[in-house]
Amino acid sequence: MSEKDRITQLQQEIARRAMRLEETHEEEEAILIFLLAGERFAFPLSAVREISRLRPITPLPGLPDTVLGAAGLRGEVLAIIDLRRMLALPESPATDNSRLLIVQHKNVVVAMLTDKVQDIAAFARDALTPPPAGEAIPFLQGVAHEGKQAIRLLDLARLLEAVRHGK
Amino acid sequence: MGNEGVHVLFLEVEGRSFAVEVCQVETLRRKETVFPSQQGPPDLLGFLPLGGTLVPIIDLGVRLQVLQEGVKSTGLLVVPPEEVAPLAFRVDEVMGPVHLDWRQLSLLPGILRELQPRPITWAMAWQGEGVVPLIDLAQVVPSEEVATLTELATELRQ
Repeated sequence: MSEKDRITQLQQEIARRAMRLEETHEEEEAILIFLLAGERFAFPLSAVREISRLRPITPLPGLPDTVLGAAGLRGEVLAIIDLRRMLALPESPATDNSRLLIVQHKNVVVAMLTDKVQDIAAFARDALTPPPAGEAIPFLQGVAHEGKQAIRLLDLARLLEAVRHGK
Repeated sequence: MGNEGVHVLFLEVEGRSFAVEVCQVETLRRKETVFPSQQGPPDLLGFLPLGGTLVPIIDLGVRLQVLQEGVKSTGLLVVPPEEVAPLAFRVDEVMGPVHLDWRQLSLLPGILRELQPRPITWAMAWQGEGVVPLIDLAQVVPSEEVATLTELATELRQ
């Protein structure tokens, strides 16, 4: 199966599951889970507009190092955010599994570079726990648990605010 | 320039492309006679004698943080009209002019405009799947630094 077919299949599966999740109870939150430095993170599914394979990224002069540059996606130019740097995670080169998550908060649309898109899921909102004391990773909205594994739900509004302030 | 887009030149620096509007380039010179300078910022290559004055030469690659290891001594000098910037910029190569219609251009997203210290990049030119920054040569060097460089050129000439 070609890379394009795999992406199409993944997007179709996500759309199918997203439709099912839209029917879930209002007290549940649908999330898109992705990997960064071996850890599981998530954004609310409602904030994710698209998943894209990596595209040529053009660095631009004078930007903070958390912004990799700009890339074109179907006629639209997007800022590419290095989520690893934003979250102070160890750096690592992009791989074939790396994906851009196109996310939107209010009228701001950006692409976040992630290591791998893993899954979508729903969990009860009251199952979201506050970040544990001493949690080193910033911009967390809370932590959900799936078995023994933690899924860190990121606060997109705070992340984008930090990007806009040149973090 | 017509009203159906812009005419641009592509400036190549270390394999990276930057587009500039043709109206921002007055002359292209081979980098030949240059007055070296021991003063000034690290990307100041020297001064180009031009029309009875000395024009500070800035290495565009170093200024735009493309080159990491010092200035290069080869390439071409791009000289803008004085009202754009009383400077010359060293680049590896110049290509064009190329006409881009508005469909081949996108304005920079707001978040990137906000993050720039000065509006150096104002649009992106589509090149296949990728995009090339369309830069404003008047914004590459801050005006206060241009004034200092101009003073330095005046002192050198005297």
